[in-house]
Amino acid sequence: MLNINVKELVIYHFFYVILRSMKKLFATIEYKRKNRRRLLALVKKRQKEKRRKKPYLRLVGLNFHEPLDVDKKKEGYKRIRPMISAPSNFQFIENTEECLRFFSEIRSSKNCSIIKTTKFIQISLTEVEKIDYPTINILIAISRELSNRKVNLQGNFPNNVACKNMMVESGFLNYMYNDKNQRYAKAAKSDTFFFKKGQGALSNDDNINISNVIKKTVKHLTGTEKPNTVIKSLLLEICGNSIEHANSKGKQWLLGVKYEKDKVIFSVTDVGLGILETLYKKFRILLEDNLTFKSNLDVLNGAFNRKYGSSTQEPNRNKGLPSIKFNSENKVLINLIVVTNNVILHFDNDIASKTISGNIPQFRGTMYQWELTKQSILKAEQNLYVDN
Amino acid sequence: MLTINIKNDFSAYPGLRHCNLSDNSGEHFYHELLNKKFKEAYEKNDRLTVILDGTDGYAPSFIDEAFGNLIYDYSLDIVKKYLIIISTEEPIWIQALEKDTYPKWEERRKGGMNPIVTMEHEPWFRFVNGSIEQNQWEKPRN
Repeated sequence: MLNINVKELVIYHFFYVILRSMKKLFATIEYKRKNRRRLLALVKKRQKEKRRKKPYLRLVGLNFHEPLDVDKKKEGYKRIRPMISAPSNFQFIENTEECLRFFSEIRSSKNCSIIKTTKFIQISLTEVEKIDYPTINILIAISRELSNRKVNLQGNFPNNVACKNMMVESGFLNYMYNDKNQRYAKAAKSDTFFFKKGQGALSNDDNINISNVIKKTVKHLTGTEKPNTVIKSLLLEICGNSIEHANSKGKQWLLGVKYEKDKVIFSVTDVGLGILETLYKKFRILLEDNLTFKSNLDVLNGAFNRKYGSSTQEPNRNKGLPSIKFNSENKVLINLIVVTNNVILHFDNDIASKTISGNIPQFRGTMYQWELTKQSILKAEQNLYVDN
Repeated sequence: MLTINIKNDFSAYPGLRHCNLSDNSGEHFYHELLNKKFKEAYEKNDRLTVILDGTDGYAPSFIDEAFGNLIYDYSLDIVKKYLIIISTEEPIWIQALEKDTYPKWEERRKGGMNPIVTMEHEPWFRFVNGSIEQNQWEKPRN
């Protein structure tokens, strides 16, 4: 016979009633709808929180670490920074210090304006009276870098007609935005300027394009279209350095070519760390350099003389820079200039070479510029060995 | 005689040093072609001829990585015995190899500083203790 305790029965019944009523309550359509809405709201809130944790302007490599202390997601959020004016003498080689200041300003997050989620930097070129080719190269390289970091470069034209025409013809506007944050119309293909931009590993197409540029250059200077393996080796080496060592965002490099009457000006620019930041110095050499108060100009000269090792520390490396110097001394590369960090090195003019003083911002990156002439092409065809 | 003509058998546009830096890199050429062909030449007691002519130009790093790895895997003495390089258009590469790449990589081999690979390669051949062994000797570093 079942021994049923009345007290237990009452308790079981009580729980049964509660569970049934709960089931009734939570199984209703109304409850399900309400719960689904609550759940979706909760998920959205969590996703928002996660997103917000990401730094809004996390632009590693530049000075874009500045945290935003305001709620940038807020509707209608605006932070407008003043326009940065380019110097009137906007020639990097002649007026290096002022140009460096300008470049440093436009690469700083402090000058980045924000409207809702659109980030942009405004530059004014109206006062520019003189501009040179390396400056345009660097501006393009910087605008590509900013674009890679989702920051638009907004700007206007120089009032000076010659400067304006040079900027338009160079194709610089292809990388710029107007004051309404819309892209400028693409410039027509120029016979004077050519730019090849690279990103990531050097593709076979990049390689073929470099070969074609060299063939066109040889034709421009000598009248005969043919390859030049020495110039090709040098370009591959310089672009390769930008890809491997510069540590720039997306491994970007920019090859610019300007065709003039009796010469062709080449420039290769990257906005990475710069050569001085990527050298490997053995302890003995580091000590020696510090004890003898070597300037950065001397250090850069040393790098081109294979005094320092590659950042990879492999003994078989560091052939590129000495071969560039050799070809400058051998008059294949005319008027070679290298600007990196706080050094400007003129291979054909020792007096113009210098270490830029401490209170002027460094150039984060490396820019090579040289000229080719008919004579230099003939020199290159001799194809001499670089004995290090 | 075994022959590799880089233009016909590999690419008319050789790239840079490593696979992570460019297409048609020196590393790729070595693992794809040179290592295997050289092993074949060694086993047949034949000589391998590599023709550099005909391409659009080399980066020094391509040449260094491709032939340097060969020195590392087979040693300088064996490479000198079994390899012929032809470069009539750019004889500087032969000078560069003999004066710079070969001694530096032999030094590297003796010092045990392993070559760097930037992508997974099929097992390749290396001369170890008097015989050729096949293995995936190196793996890409993260």
